[in-house]
Amino acid sequence: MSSQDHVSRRRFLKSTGIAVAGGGVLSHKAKHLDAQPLQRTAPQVREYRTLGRTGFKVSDIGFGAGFFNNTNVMQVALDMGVNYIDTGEHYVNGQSERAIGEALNGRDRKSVFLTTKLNISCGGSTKEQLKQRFHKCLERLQTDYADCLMIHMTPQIEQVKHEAFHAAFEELKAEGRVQFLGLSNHGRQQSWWGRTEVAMEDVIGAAVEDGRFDVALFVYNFLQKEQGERIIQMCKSKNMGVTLMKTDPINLYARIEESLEQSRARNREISETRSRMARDYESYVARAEEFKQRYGIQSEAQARAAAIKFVLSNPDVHSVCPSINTFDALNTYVGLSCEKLTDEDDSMLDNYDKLLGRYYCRHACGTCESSCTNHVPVNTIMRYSHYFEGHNREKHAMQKYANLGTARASSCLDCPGHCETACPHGVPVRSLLVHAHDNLVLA
Amino acid sequence: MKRMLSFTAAAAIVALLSCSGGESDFPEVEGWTQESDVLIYDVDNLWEYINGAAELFVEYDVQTCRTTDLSSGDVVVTVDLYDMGSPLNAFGVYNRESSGSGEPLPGAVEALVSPPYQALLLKGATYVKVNAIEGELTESIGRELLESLASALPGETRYPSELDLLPEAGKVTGSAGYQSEGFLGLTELTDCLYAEYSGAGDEPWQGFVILPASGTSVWNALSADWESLEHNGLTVLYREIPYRGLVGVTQTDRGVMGVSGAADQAQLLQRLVGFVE
Repeated sequence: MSSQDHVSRRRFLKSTGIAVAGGGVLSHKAKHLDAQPLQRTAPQVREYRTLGRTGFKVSDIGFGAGFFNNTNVMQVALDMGVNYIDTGEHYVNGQSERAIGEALNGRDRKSVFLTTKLNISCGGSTKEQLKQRFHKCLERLQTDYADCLMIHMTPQIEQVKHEAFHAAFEELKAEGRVQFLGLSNHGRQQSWWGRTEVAMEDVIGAAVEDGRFDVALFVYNFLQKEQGERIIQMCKSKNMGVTLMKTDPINLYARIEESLEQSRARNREISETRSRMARDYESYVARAEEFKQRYGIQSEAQARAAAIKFVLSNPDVHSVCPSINTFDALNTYVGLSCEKLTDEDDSMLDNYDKLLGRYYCRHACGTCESSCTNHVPVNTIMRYSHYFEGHNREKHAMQKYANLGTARASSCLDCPGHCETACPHGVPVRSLLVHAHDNLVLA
Repeated sequence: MKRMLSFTAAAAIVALLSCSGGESDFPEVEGWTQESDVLIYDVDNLWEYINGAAELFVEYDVQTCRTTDLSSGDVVVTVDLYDMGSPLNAFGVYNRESSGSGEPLPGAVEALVSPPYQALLLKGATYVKVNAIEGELTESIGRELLESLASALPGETRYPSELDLLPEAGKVTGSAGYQSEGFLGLTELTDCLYAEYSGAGDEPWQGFVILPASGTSVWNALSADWESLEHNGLTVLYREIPYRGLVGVTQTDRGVMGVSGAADQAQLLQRLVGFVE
């Protein structure tokens, strides 16, 4: 460094809390040669749970690699003690598996439980084709074996008994290329002939009943817990491993007040009907504010942490698999390992549900839509409203709404509200729709 | 196979269920027959089609995905046409999924055939993904299909103009990419164009440029958290990435430019100065 250089120390590595101990930094090329110890402040996994009948002790915080491509993040995750990795053939078209393979290179393979998935709906699904595809997975992962192979998405009950998949699995297992069988399911799926309403618990339940599956990956969170808890109990009855996704569905609508103000400005002369609905929506804002003040919430991350702790408070949950691709996300999630759900957390989530759950139009629900005489696509409009307010994607949301091609929420003003009667969660559907309409159309 | 097995029986159901496709504006592909209805997904429901893989496409601001099955002889493929809204976004997601190993193709920007199951294509704002569901997609069949698709699709056949922001000197051919979020695993690095560079006596290293529209906001965010030093009249912000080494950026009249993978500050400054010259 020249004499002109002047270094001013800042919050070096603050955002990751990770540093190299001792002297020099390894070169780019030498990055795989030596593990670099973590700074003492870096979070570590502090709890391992037995993954059902696999007998493997997995980290309570797993690594969801759905859009993952950064080897360095995975290397640090492994240093932190994360040892459950969830990937798939289709994740970033195989690049997720490649990045994981690079990160695992030179490490003790047996210390990690590696799950990958094959989608049996595309890419060739005869026994030989599935085996060939799986061997490609292993090549990308730079390993001789995967701990678990899952049927990806599993949209139909029939696919639980997919003969070629099971035949391929048995042969691969006999060859020592895989040890355990699993499946994943998100619930409702869109297939080529239209929307299907095969419930998540029906698909996972069929797998439990089938008896050949060792591990399941599905949706469970504090706002949609009943079905998830039933599935967890089913899995427990056969000692299946339970891994989770979509565990922290928190949104406090940070821009909601601004949005409401704009809505008021656009509707100076408002009808009594609209006024009543606006008051209902305002009560939502007040409740959100009350919630934030009561629990000192500065950011959604605080509430998300409680949501993760909630699912981990269930001892029959073995690992949660949030999507991770940055050091920040890694630190946040690993920092929650072994964190117990406190009374305050429990109270926070309970109150979130009581205060704001009523205003949460459940993802992919659509129960009310058949009752609407105007055929308003309620779930779709709610999503656009969420993009407008929750994601700051106003233009995108307005374009989507303009191109809807169906009845819009303007028709809700003069409607008696059959949807609200039909909603099992008590959501004030009309009010939310009218507010959404106000946001999503130009004044 | 799911699409083929019960296609006939389900044809009537298609009409009744009013799926999210219907009337097709799917391009006609010479030598291939359309075997199923066209389904159209957008950012709201893409996960229903490709599950967790949708997150990558959402990151790159996907607009729509049109998908259908095509057949030719004993080969049946699913063709996904992703409208990414801009050539840069299409390039970004194509590059991430192809690992930068594509080749030029007439009528397109680039393409990659990976027998026996897959072929990828980039043209304008469209990223095309072909997956075989029956038969084998050989190199020649895949290439012919991609050429037909390329000729039927609109859009530019050159790389996105934004890539011209990357300095040419020392750039390794075919190494350029674009990552919209979390470049190098760092939340604060967004909208990054990058490429590998090589110089005499030095191992390859990575250089990157922040898109001009995001330059100021990214610089301000880095200023708050990264180390800084002054060197030859440049303000350099830098930090360390575990297992990778140092990454540093500076502001120039061409925007915020940076390098990564340096072993120490001397190497970081040497590369950075050379990169911005």
